[in-house]
Amino acid sequence: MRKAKPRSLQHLLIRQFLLIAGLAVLIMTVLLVQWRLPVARQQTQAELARVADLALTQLERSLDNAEALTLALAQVVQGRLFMGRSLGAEGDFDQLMAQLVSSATLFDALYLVDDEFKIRAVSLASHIATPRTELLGNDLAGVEVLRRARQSWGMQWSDQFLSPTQGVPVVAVVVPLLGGMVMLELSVERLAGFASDPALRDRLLLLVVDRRGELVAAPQLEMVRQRANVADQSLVRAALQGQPVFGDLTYGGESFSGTVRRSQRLGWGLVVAYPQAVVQAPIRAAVAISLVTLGLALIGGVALAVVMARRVDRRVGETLAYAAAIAEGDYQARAQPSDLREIERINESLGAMASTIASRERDLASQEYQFRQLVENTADLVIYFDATGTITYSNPSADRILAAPGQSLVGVDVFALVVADELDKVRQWVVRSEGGDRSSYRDDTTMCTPDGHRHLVAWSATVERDAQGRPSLFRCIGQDVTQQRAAQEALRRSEARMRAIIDCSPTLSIQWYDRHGRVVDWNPATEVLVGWSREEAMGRTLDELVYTTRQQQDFVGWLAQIEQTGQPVGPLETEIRTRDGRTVTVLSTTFALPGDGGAPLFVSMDVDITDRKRAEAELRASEKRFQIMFDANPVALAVLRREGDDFIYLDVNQSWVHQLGYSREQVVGKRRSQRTVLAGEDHGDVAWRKLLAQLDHERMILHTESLLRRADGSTFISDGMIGLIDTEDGQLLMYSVHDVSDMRRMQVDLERLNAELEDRIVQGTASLTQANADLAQALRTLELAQERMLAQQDRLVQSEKLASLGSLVAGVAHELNTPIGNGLMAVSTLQDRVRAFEKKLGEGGLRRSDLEDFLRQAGTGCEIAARNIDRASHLISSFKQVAVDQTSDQRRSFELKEVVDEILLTLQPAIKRSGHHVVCDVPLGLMLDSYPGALGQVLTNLVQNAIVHGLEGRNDGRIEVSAEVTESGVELRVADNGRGIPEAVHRQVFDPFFTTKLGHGGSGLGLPIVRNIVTGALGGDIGFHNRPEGGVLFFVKLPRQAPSAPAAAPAGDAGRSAGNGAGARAVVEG
Amino acid sequence: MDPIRTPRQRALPATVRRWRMAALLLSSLLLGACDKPPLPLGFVGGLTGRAADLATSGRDAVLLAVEQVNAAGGIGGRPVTLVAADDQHDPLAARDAFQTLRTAQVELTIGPMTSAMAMELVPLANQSSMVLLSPTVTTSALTGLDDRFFRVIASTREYAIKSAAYHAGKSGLRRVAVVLDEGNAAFTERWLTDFEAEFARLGGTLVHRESYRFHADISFARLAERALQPAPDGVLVLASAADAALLTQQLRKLAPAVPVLASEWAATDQFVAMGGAAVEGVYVAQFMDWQSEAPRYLDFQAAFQQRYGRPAGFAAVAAYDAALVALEALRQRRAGEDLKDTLLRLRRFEGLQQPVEFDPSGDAQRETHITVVRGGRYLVQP
Repeated sequence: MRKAKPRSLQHLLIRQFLLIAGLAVLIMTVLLVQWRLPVARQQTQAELARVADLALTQLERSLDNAEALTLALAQVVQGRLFMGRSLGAEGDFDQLMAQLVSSATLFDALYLVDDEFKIRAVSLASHIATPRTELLGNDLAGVEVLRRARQSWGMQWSDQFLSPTQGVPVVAVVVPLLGGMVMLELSVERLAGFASDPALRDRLLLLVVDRRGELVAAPQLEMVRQRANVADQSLVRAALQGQPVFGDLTYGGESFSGTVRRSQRLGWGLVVAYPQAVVQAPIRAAVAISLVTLGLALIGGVALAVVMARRVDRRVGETLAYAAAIAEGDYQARAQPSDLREIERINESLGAMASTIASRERDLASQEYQFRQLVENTADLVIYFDATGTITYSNPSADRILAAPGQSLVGVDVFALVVADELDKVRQWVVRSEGGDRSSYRDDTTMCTPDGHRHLVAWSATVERDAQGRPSLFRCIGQDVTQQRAAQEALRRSEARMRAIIDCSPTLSIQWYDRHGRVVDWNPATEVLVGWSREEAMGRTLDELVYTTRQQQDFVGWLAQIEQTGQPVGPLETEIRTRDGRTVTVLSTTFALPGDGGAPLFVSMDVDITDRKRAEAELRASEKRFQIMFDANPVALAVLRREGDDFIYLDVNQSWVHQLGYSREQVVGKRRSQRTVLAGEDHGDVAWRKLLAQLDHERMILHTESLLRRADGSTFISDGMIGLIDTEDGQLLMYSVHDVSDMRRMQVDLERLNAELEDRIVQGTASLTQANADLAQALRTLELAQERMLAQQDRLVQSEKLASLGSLVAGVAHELNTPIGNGLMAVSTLQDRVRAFEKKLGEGGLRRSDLEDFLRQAGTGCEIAARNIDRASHLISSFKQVAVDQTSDQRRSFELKEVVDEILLTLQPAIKRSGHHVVCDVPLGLMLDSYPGALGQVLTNLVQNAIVHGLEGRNDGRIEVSAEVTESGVELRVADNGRGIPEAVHRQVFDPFFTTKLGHGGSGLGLPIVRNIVTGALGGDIGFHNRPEGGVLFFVKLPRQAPSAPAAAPAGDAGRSAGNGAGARAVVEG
Repeated sequence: MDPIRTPRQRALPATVRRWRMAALLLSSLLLGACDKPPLPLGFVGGLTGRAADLATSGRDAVLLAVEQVNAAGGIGGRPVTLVAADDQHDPLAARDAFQTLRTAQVELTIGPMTSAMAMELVPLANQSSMVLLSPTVTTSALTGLDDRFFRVIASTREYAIKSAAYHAGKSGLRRVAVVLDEGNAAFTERWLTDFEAEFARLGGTLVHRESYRFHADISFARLAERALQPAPDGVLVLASAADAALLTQQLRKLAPAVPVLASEWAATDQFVAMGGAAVEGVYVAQFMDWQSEAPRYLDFQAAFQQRYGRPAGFAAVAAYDAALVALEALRQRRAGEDLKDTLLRLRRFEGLQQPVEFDPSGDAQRETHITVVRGGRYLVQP
């Protein structure tokens, strides 16, 4: 849009003044035309109308005399004619006429005309010299008014015509008679005299025209004489038509305005007019005054406007100068004080603006400095280069990274910095920019320094253009992303590794879900766990796969909770349904990760804890069983925990409760010192300490007598076993209560009987015999009780064996899962290939390469399937052997390595879980004739002992199983690199119920059973020693041939061995 | 072509008229000087006096032509104004009239109407830049001269010879008395000379010659009496219409049967108006054909009747022809060209009844017709 050229303030003010003046003139003109002029015109017209009426009256009155004379004469003549006289025949008529003419100056000629239009008598005015008599008999038939009068029979006025006798212009009035006519002629001079009557106002034009428009009377006589015809004037025509209008008239070369009248009697017109100069004088005066006023107003207005404009201009000029000073940066300038409030306000505003600008400039300078500092100190690279590619600015970072050391990039060709591979890309962008492409440049470009280093720089460039739109400056800011890219690459690889780990993790099942619980992804471990492949699961919810509807609802609820709180959920135990219908317990933890589209991605990590659960359940069951046995034990037993010299009751069994009369609640948790039930109490502290000292030394005292007090206060003598057991929780004291009060009493009685016998020796020996019999009976009773207790222990050992078998089964089943699953997968893949091959065969698009592919895939698939099925078969047979061995205690000849391998195989799940590493170094060819089941149980317990005790709390343990031929047979070794066995408990290791894990899954029966089996059924020895490098080594010496008489139950042996206590052939080496 | 100017529309709204007046006033105040100046056209003739009918008719015809050309937009955008001067049939007045025309910057004047005045004015015109173009002057005295005098008519010679031939032949007149007006001797004497020569050649004789000069107490009865003294078989009257009519009145009273012959000078309606029944049967030579059916002539007659309320006579027709020539010459005049040269260059112009064609001396040919007054009208005689 074109901007109008600015005008000066002075110009504007003058124009506005002129506009106002012009408006006033316009209003004045409108008033003049619409009001003043019409009024003046009406006044003039009224005056004209008045004069016209007056003139018409005067004209008619001036003709009245002529008419009256003519009528009078006509009456006289008519009267004489009626009296029989003929026209012109009488001299007296002529005399009469002469008298009339001489006495009146009212006419120029008077004719008496007969019916033949012949002049019969004539009278001429005195100034006419024509001989009167000569005219008599002249024919006047050519006079039009006479003919008209004759036809109309009424008085007629003529138009102007040339007198038939004088040849000069006249008008005539004719009165017809019976037998003739009287005609009176009036010269136009007479009428002209009327028109120039001085009584009429000065300059008034008075015209009389006849019916043809010829002048009859006018101020100028010659015009009348010349018979001027003014009928061309519209006003005259209007007069002759009887329209009393106002109008303009041109007469004698002059313009007039006037009005007209028509004489009804004569048919003549009368024009009354003033020269237009006169009529329009007031109008001209008004217009002239208006113009003068206008002129004065304009001159005055312009002068005033100029003066005012200059004054305003001067004041504004001061402010303008002030503003200009500010504009040029002189913020200290001071405004001139003004007497105009607006100017003052402008000055104030300008002052405020100046201070604001000054403040902003300071800010700007500060910002510029800051910005400069930013650019100079930033790690980013900043480069400006011009259209030729020459760098015009570079910041220190750019110089440091891209320039030669200690030099600047300024003046360097920017293209020289770009590696050759990417030069085209950069050049293309520059060329595009020149072509008007507005796109900015954003790309990573590899830059090359003079010393050959390469830097990957992420550039962002903008183009500045000159007025013609050509690029003038390229501003580039870049970031050295070389290391960042390397880090990203490392991260990407790390992610790939992570993904590989996730995908390859055999036991950790990981799934990804969206917030609706739909599966987004899951790893192969999940596929193995649930049996659904990743492709099948994708997009489905878990209730379609492994969950019940209720579980799915809970799951989605958790997801919502996770999304809301951001906190992970779990670990939670969940039972899921696998594809093949199994119920598996998993421990899962679910947490949220930010997903790609902003929606969170939920990750669920599951561990199959079915086996562990089962083991735990079994352990609990085992503990319960132990508790039952403990409670059901007919021997009263109590367990206390040592705290210093004092003991606190942990538990007592029913038999104890029954014998001593205390309720369990009364005892458990109480200190021994608070009760007096324990043996030695009555003997005082000395005896108790002595007992404890003995215990600390011997760990177990099979027979100790104590006086115990029941709840009812009665006391009895107990001959029970008491032992100290070292556990991780401290030392436990266990003692059994065997009421031997009766026996003692019997002994007392015996002693008393002996004394009495001595007496009775005196008195007789008969009662002595009886006493012996009673004693024997009592001894039998005691032995019987002892046997019952041992039988109980055998059952306990048997159940432990079964529990071990159960865990074995679970391990084998788990181990089977892998080969069978692999085989299944291979077969199903093969099946798919077969189907695809069939389809392709049916379609006829089979090619040789397809056939070869199929054969190769089929071969591979079969090989995989066969290998896995073979492995499963091997596992099953091993398991079968182990199971048979362990349940049947069958004796057979076997290869030691096979058995060891099988056993280790069944232990594989537990080993894997623990994270330890098992190394087997058993040479082939070691054939034994023995009990492989018992041997398996030994090996199992030793390995588990290593895992549970020796390597507890670690996951990088190493367990070595090896065998060696010795003189007496074979030595089987199980070693670990754990913490070893404390010297203090070496003696107790093989004691039943000695455990460091009491209450934590340890039964205290594992090693006693092992020793029992080894020394029992297998006929060997067992021992151990801590290894110098750490850890413990158990060695089992076995004969090649197990001792005969295998009928002896190993459990029984074990029980007896345990019962023999320190007498067992266990070897503990230093 | 409507020769009458359309009457101004009076029904305009008052406001419009008011504003028009104001605009007129303003324009006259501010722009008056910008109007093109009018083009003056002169007329000279005896507008007053006894021969006034000839001049007034001529003036009226010229005025009509001027009004018509102005109604059509004037000449080159300039309106034409008619400056009419009265020579009063008097040599001194004629000089005054000529001066009046000169003062009015007139370059072309229609007139004069009578030969006597022409003899007075032509020398004046020859000394000036004015061109005289006469409708009716027929005197042979101006024939064949290279002067500034033009006429749309032939010389008396042709007309007199024709009248002589007619009356000597068809009328069978042999002895003719003549009454002539010496006030217009340039016409009457020339006319009579040419007539007499031809009349004598054809066997006729002028038995009496009665000359007069008009004065207030002149007696036409005595003139008639003397003309009839030798008992002519015809009386030739060479006078204006008024004089001829009055003389004829006297001749009829004295000798009703003697034929009266009149020249073209008397051939106006005034002759009939003043002569009444007395001029019935008078032979009058005419420059025009009263029975012409030429469209231009009929249009002119209608326009003239409309404008002036009376028919146009020969003077009007001739004057109108002269006005047509004059206006055309003004229209065709080249820049800086003498109007005399313009007229001679153009030479031929359209007239109402016949074309006007100048010879190099500025004379034209015009037919004459012998008419007889019958019932107040001129009837052309075969």
